[in-house]
Amino acid sequence: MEETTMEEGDYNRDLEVSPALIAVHPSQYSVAVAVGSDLRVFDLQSGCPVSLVDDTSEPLHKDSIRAIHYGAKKGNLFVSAGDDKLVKIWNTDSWRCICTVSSEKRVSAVAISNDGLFVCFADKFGVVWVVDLDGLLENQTSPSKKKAVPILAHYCSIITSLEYSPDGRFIVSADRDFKIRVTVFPKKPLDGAHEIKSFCLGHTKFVSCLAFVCASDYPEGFLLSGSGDSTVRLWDITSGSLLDTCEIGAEAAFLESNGKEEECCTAITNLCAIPNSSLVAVAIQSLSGIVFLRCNLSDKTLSIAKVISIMEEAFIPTSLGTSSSTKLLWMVTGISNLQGSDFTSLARVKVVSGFDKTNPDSGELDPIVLEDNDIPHGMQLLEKLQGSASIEKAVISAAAETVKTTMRNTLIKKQYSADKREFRKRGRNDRKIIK
Amino acid sequence: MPENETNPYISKSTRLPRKRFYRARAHSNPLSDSHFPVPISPCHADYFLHFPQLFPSSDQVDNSKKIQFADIGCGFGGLLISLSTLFPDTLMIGMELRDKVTEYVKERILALRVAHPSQYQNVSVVRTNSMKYIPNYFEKGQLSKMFFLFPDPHFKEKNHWRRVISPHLLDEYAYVLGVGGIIYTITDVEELGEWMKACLEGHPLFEALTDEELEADPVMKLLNSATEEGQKVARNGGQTFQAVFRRIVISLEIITPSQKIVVHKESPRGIHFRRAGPRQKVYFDAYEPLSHVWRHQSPRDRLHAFTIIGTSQGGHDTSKIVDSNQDCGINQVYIIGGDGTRKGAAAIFQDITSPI
Repeated sequence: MEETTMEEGDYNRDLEVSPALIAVHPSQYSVAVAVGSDLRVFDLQSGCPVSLVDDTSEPLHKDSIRAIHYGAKKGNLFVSAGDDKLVKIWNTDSWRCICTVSSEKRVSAVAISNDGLFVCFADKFGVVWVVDLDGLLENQTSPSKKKAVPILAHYCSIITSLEYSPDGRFIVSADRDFKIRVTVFPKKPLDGAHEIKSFCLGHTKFVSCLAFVCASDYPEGFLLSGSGDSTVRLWDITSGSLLDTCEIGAEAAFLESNGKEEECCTAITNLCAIPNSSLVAVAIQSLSGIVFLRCNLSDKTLSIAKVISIMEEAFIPTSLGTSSSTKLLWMVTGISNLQGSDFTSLARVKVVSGFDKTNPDSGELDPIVLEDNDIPHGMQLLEKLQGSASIEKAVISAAAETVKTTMRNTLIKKQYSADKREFRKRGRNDRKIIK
Repeated sequence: MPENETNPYISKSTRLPRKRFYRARAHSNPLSDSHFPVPISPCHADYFLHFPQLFPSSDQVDNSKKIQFADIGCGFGGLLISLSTLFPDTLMIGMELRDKVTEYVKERILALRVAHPSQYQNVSVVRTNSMKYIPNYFEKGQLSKMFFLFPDPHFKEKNHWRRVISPHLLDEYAYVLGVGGIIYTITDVEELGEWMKACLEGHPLFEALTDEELEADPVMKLLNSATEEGQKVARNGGQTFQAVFRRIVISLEIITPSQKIVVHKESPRGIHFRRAGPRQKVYFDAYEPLSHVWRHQSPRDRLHAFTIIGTSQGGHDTSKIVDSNQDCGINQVYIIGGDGTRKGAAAIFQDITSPI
């Protein structure tokens, strides 16, 4: 892949941008934003910015951060990883880096097991590695060296998302080909995860994000996946069967109703299941705003509950986050390496509230996008997470164009025309054409 | 094209395609992005196109019949052609990455179907990258045999992970193989032979076949003789290295209400659920009172059923089972399975309750 793009001459490492990411502590004690190599954390309990402590290196990350994740249940762990091939594991009480693991390749996704004993990360060659955290939390004095062990692999395909099932029995990995693999997460993961439970097949383009939606009567949960084919699909992971498909790209474009045919840019960027509800927030490549899907678990169907457009700014979320304790959805848009601007990178944070309430008149969902001042800890938080309290709209609109195409360009496969392919084959001597 | 009398691609005497017009490189890059169509999922696989006589129309798909053998990297299709007549009722498919070679095999099968109208309806070939897309073609546990004959050796250490047998790809092969399914590998490269054997031995879901089982398997003779590559090795007087392994189960959720379950002495498969440490198969002594879970695969619905009695392998030998149970002092037998298994259980019950 890399070779062919180099030949085409349109691959330039300098122009590579990474989207901004956001992660929220499961109890909303803190919120983290990553833009480029910059990791910013804000403590929501004490209302002050957090300074990260890392004894091993300075700066923390040398290249774009591609994945951040809080430890699932208690949230006492945080993992960040990216293009600098380092996986950093943080203690979320002291915000000290308790472990740095080197990867052979660039890291594209991370996950923490539900019991907090293992960190998994996936590299750009499709290999998922596991790190045993045993003894790390107790021994907090010195950052210890840990080695990662490969447990499973998608054959040479970038893994875009890693998730544990809510019961922790399975690890789900999605790749850039269109595959979703559900693997039994073994009791001793260091021996490898050899038993595949199922493959969830149905997407026609890259799978960009995974999320589990749970309800009290379905504790095992159902898997949701968003993809470059602009659909969100609902799966039963034990059988790998497709339960429902929501053609959200088509619907959202219709709802947006500005008449423009932007089919190429309706990839699903991120999914975020709202805990203890049937709602799922969906970020779409071309939509300035966010779509809420309702997931009916008894009928096993997906439907659009509400589309929120953010008109005043071109706010196309690149990442979503939420906690299980409060009813706030955190969104971020932004990229690193912004060309032609005073800012080297951009991050803009917004918060949606009130999606648990319905409008008494229409019975519809009535979420609102909070004003900057209404966000918890207001300007102080924005100053930390965005880098500056206010960002000019012009900069955001400039970035929006780049945001629109970023993920698509990194994940979409090059399609060559038949002519071009013939041309590339011309040098081959394995065909004998009889004239 | 086959109708054309003057078509130089087709041999005039045998009416088969001539291999020299389908010259191909020996290697193909398995990592390149593919530009051939891949079925979205196994239920999108077009059986109708591959086996037109067995699946006359695309709408009335007979779900009971599925592809059971896959020849991964089938090359010029020699093995498929031999297997087709040996297992006339089994659907099989060859998977090959090189498009020219796939074309050849396609033509060859079509020509053979014309020459022998009732035969070769059960074989087909598809151009695909099996390292990437095997779950798109086969469901979980669908296959009963997989062949990896003379694969690309990829000598350089940095290219080892391109080998078609590798620890992580074996997970996928174990997924598509039914329990009891067999994976055949052969190569003329000693180093690769050792590698494949080591990969399979190190994998918890595979175990080697015994020499007697290999002896009894009619397919084993074909590994060397049927493929074009094998014939070439034989012509040059080369050596071949085989590794033949069976798909087994490890994550047994053993249901053991009874107190004493005994390992059968003659059990050829040994005991192979794993204890504690990594990469260790634990073999117990015969008659050690431990759970022995005997795998039985019901062929029709492919449900994996287990009988918790030490018994014979394959088939159903009522008297042997009963004797074995009486010898071991088992007084309770729980049987889980489909129709066939229940019939077997009924036969055992009758044998036990009969007066003498």
